[in-house]
Parts: sequence; structure tokens; C-alpha cells
Amino acid sequence: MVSKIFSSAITGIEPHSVEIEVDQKKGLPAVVIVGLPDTSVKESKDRVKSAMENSGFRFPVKRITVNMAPADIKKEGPSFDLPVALGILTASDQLSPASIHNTIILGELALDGRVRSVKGILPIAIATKQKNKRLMISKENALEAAIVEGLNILPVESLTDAVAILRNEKDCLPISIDSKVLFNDYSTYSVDFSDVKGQYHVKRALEVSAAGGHNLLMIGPPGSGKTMLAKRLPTILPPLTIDESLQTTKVYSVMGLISQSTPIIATRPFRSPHHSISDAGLIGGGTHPRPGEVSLSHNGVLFLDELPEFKRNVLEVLRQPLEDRSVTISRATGSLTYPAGFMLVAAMNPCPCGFNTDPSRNCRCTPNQIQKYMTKVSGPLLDRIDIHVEVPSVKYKELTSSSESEPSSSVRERVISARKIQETRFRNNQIHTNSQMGTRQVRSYCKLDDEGSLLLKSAMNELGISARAYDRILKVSRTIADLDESSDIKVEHLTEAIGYRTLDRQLWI
Amino acid sequence: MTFKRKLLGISGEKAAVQYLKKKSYKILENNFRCPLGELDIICRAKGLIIFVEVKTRKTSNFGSPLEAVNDRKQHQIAKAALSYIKAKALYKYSFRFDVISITGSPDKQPEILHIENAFPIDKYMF
Repeated sequence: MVSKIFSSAITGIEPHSVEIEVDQKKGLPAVVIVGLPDTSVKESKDRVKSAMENSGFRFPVKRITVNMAPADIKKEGPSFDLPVALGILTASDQLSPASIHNTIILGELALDGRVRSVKGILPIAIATKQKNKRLMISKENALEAAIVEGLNILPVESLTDAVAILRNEKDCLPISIDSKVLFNDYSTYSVDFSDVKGQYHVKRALEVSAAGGHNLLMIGPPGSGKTMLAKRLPTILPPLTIDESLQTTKVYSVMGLISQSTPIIATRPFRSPHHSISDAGLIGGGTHPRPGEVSLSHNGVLFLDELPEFKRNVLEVLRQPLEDRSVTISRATGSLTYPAGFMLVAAMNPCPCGFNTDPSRNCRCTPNQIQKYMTKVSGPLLDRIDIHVEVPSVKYKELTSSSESEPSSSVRERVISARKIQETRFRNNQIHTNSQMGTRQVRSYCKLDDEGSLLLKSAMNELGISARAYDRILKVSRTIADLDESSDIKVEHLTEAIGYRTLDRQLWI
Repeated sequence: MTFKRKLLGISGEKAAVQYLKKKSYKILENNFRCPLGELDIICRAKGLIIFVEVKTRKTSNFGSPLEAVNDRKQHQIAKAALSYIKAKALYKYSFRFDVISITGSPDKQPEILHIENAFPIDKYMF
């Protein structure tokens, strides 16, 4: 008899259903798995056999053919152990076929019959809910799937457990959690803006960049607090909506980073990869493509510390995700798209030794060395960073002052209201923030008065600001005006925006 | 191999021959030996030449006898079969590989399982 089990596989972060057909025929005992399985799927037959025998079931001495449809999609990973085992049990009449219909089954089997957790449960859970089916998964995975409201989950601990539940011999406790409560429980940050003493103009720059979604570059000597400031940027961004949170959690789910202690990503992610990262590690890839750091920082902040130390080719691959807010990875086996809507925050020293702009220390770099250091990041990548800000070292007096700085919550309120203005402005466009404006939108939304145009003109001539910086300045000044709740861009907004183009002014190169 | 195990195999093969005769297969050869391997029974039915491997076990505590006909054994049977085909110049015939498993004592009505066309040999490139 042929049995049919429903399961699911993940390509990229999208689930697609897989039908597992099991047939047993008279013949030399063997298990043949067809339907483009990879090695880890082929290995499952030995796990399934041991698990079934150790759980007290009969493994048929027959020729067993397992077909995984559709046959043109590569099947990876151990998540098909449980469906194959249940398929064999159904095919050999140890389980009635009526009990398994309408159920999507996933799980890795241990040799003693226990069911282990698998990666990528959340996207599958969402799809299962849409199809109105039941989902049978391991107990450890159940909490992750329970985020999807109204989903009928059958959590199982072992193969014996699974069969008992399917035969209705055992009740399974319905798992349901209030995703809103869970979301609120996990949506607090452990850091706050008020932790940072001094650095008022950098905080202001971070506020502007958060309000308009502008990418940011911080330049300063070592120990000036660049990393500390960047870490606190997520706390002033608007809180994640449940939808955004689900999108980000999906990526973490596929990477297997969701655990009992973090069942949902409810805060904006902050990713800070080391500068030795490879291009595949940053944007994703590999033989079996996995999401990279840009996707893990989806809806959050990607922080690149020591920007010039990153390999050139690694920085170059960032350009496409910065534009498209998604990453497409093309390989011979197919192409995948991962989300990558992140804010880029980079930090660097002004020169190799780090003390070029520090008034209290002497720089011991030659102009040639500084030139070489700066060219590592120049060009198209710098073009996509709207705000450059200098971070001076903190003075002793500021560091020890007992005056409380402004907390994240009040900065966040201003950011949220600026974002609201942008949402109304761009309601008919496909974009959400000022940073995403194209040339045409800049022309129509960033009009300057006479005084402003005159100022920008003289700034371009006097300060040596490049043409490509022109649009950047307009966009940033638009954001500053939004923060000020002003419908026109005034001179003070423009001057502040010009101040955020440190690198264009070529102060020390 | 102990004498006891040898006897078990021989009596199993005898039981298999009886079984095949009852099913009106014509026995051509018993225990064909060549340097490449051995074929337990060679017989003819329905215009086919059939090579039969007989496997006997007293109990299935250590797995079914069928499971013992693994890749290595199949390869050996295939090689021996080709050498038989060449020796007898049977180029016009079609062939089939069967396995008969006998579980239990061959003298006391054992369980006989006959797998027709048990394996193909196309995966063995000679």
C-alpha cells in the first residue's frame, strides 16, 4: 500500500510543501529514497530504522521506496525523519491512513525514538495556518510555532508519542501563547541612550539617521564611544511592529537561532560582524545557501566597526542589498532571495594609528598611510552613506558629570513623529523613509528657498563638496526639517545637513 | 565454516530445488562454481534463464536471510552469472536474478520466500 504524508521544506526563508510517498514491495530488503534528497536525507533511513525498532514497531522486511515530491526541489536536512517513519508505519498497516491526513509533519529522530527539533519552523507554521492544517513537531519547536495564532499544533516527544496522538489514544495539550504578551515580554532593550555621557552632536546625528533611515558613518579616535553609541541606535528606532518582528524572526528561525529563551525577535536586531567576515558570511551564500549578517539585521542595524579593515570585496557586495533592501543569491542550483532591510552604521578611525583628529595625542601616520587607509572605503559605498559624523574623544569633565542625559524613550518619540510625517508624504510612493528617495522625489519634496539655494551653492564651492553629496544633503535636511515638524527646509536645517558631510570636506586627506 | 552450518546451507538448497521443481522450473545446474563466485541454482522458466541465490537461516534473530544478499553478494553473483553465460554461450536468452530465503529448519516445513527479479545488475559496470 502506498501512504502519503505531508511535510514541508524551506528554500531561502520561504516554505513549500513536500509530499512524502512511501511504498513497500516484495523484494530484497532495502530503503530507496528518491526525489532529489541530499546526503543528510539519505542518511535518515538508518535513523528511522533504529528509531522504529527501538520504539517497538516493526520495520518491514520489504523493498521500501520513499518518494519526495516535487522531485525538482532539493531536499535537505534531517526534518524528514519523522514523516518518513510515519509513512513506513502507514504503508505497513501499523497506522491508519485516515489519521495522518491534514497534518504537516516535521522532526528529526533520535535512535531511541525521541523527536528532535529542526530549523525553520516559523515560516512553515505560518504557511500551515494559511492552509488550515495541523502541524506535528517536536516539543522544543512547539513554542516557536505557537507564535502563529490559532494554529493547531501537535507537539510530540517521541515516535511512540506521535503514533499515540495520531491514533487518538493520547490527548495532546493544546499549546497557545498570546503572541502580543510574548512580544511585549521580549521587547525591552538592556541598554539606553542615557548611558552615554557627552557626545551630544553624535547623539543628534544618530537621532537624525534614525528618523530618516539614513546610513551613518562615525569617524573618531579609539575609545571615543563609537561602538557604545551604535549599540544604542536600535533603542531610538521606532519599535518593531508584529509584522516586522515576524519577518525578522523568520530569518532567525531558518538559521536555527530561535530557542526557548528567545522565542521571538521583538527588538530591532543589532549585528556587529567582525571585520574578518567573508562576503558569503555577510550577504549569505554557501553550497547550501544560508542567510548572512545583512539578513540577520533585517529591520535593524548592521554595525561595521573598523570599516577600512573589511576586505574590499566584502564591502562591495553590500551595495546591492543597500539599494534593494533584499539579497538575491544566485547559484547553479537556483537563486534565492533573503530580506535585507537594514540600517548601515559604520565606524572607523581617521587614520591607521587613530589619533589624527585627536587634539590631545599625536598622530604618527604619514600622509601616504592616511591616504591609503581612506581609499579603502571611498567610492560607491561611501556614496550610500548619508551622514558622516566625527566622534571626538570624551573629556574627563563630561565623563564624570552626574547630569543625566536624555533617555532613549524621549528621543524615540521625536523619531516616531518624524517617521509619521514621512509615511504621509510617501503614502503614494513605494518608499517609507527620506533615505529611500530617488532623484525625482528629491526634486519634488526637497525644495529650497532662495536663501537656502545660495547657501548650498557657496557650500559646494567653498567646502569642496562633491556633486554626489548634493542629493544626500537635501535628503538629510528634509529629515532634519521633519524632526523640527517644519514643512519647508530652512537654512538651519540645511546647515546642519552640510555639517554631516565631514568626509566630503576632506579635512585631513 | 563449521560443518553444521555447511549442512544447513546444503539442506536449504535442496529444499529450494524441491520448491522450484514444484513450480515447474527446469533445473539446469546446481552449485555452478567458477573462480569469480558461485551460483546456487540455475534454472529455466518462461523462456528465461534464472540464477537463484538460496539463503538459509534457522532464526531471523539476526535479520532476515534476505538482508544477507547485500551489494557485495549481488556483485559476486553477477560476475559468476556472466561467466556462466559466456561458458555456455547463452547469448540469445534473457536473464533474471532471484533470491530464495529459507527461515527455520529445512527438514521441518520452513518458511520459504521466493523473490523473483530480486535485483538488477545494471549498476555493476564490468
